[in-house]
Amino acid sequence: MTNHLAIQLKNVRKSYGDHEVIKGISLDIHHGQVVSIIGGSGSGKSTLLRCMNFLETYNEGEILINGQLLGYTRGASGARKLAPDEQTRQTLSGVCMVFQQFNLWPHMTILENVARPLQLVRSLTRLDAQRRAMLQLERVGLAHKAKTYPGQLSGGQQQRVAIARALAMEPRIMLFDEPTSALDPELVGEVLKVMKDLSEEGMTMVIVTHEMGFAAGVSDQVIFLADGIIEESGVPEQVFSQPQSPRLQNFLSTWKERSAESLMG
Amino acid sequence: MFDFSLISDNASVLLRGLALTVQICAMGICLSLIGGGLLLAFRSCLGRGSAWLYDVYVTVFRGTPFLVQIYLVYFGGPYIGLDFSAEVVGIVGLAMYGSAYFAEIFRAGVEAISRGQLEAARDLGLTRQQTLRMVVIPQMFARCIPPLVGQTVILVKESSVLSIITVPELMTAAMRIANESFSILEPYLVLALSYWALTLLVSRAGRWMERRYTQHLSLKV
Repeated sequence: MTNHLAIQLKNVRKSYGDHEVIKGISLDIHHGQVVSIIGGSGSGKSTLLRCMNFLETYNEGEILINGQLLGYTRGASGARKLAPDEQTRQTLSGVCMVFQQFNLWPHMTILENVARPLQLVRSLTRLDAQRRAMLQLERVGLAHKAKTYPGQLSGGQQQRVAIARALAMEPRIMLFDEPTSALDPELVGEVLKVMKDLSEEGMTMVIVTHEMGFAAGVSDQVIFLADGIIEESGVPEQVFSQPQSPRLQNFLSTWKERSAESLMG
Repeated sequence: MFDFSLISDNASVLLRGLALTVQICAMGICLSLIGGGLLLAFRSCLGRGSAWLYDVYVTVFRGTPFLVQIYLVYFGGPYIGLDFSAEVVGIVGLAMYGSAYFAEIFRAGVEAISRGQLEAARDLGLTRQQTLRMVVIPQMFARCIPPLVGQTVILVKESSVLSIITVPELMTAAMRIANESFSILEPYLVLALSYWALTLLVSRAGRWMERRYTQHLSLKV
């Protein structure tokens, strides 16, 4: 099954009413690759990522996950229609997302947050699910917090739990939607560290981020999105050191100024 | 000034009334909880038409006095073949009236759950029913406890209106004693105290449940 691409986008378009936010994007992501998507707010980067696990529907084009068409089925006439939930779940069974707002369930302990989905989705017994959950919590360094509730943890810890929760499902592809944007600056590092470890273990990752330094460090490919199209893409050295398009040059210099300003206080 | 022998002489009448009030309220409130849940389920699963019908139901039952509702059913009902005993009209009336309020409380509770939590559930592969069971319903109930308690207290007090359609509940018992003895103060004072005790009990139980179930929800998650 590995001769399929992990994710393949073919001329994907997405609109909200009359407003088109994704204007024809094609992209190949291979297994084991780490791809970062950067761009200003409103560039469509989060929407694009959310299309990849079908939290957003897309209007045109195709998204293939391991070669399987995501979210739709082709009718006899070639017209596509929404696939049954069960089929979409099947297509996405190896894809997990980590969200900006962590999205842990506040009424459940950390351990339950990780273990309960395993019981329900993977049909593990309670004991097996908890054992597997503990392994993942150890991996992100939070096994000692298993009995606490999300509200008792820092943002960085919550995000690491969210990563453990996703990892417990044993995904082959992980999507990160601005995973550090809601964190206090001093908590960003611990989350990036976990992500870096994952990339070194060969996880396929698509990361929407504002952490340029991190993107430069871990990515095999960097995509710069502007106004719903891929304005520029390439290996990090090229995109960050020799940007071709004026918009990317502008974006990077604004970013540099801002980080300089924030350093000056 | 106060003739307390009046109360002790009529203790059995008052106690029977109290027992009936408790029974009617308990049944009415249980049915309201079920009805409110069903109403909300009906609203969300059948599209636009059902949302409209839900709105009609809620605005009618919240927008007309409870007294008028039971008057219509109890005195008007027999003209269109709805001939039920006062107790049945009382319980069902209380349930229909309460359902409208409870449904709206549940709705607010569901809407307070962040979309992100539901998206996380979906992303991890949970079905809609599993998400409902694991994420939505437990949090909804926890968040709803304070407004549910408030509304329950109101329903207990509203049940006194049933005296008007001759349900022999607490209010009726007190009125009977007052009418027969020509003493006003004693029976109505005991009546007020009884309702106060009942609603206090409800509030305390609510406080306890609130402490037990919401400790992790008030936090900034």
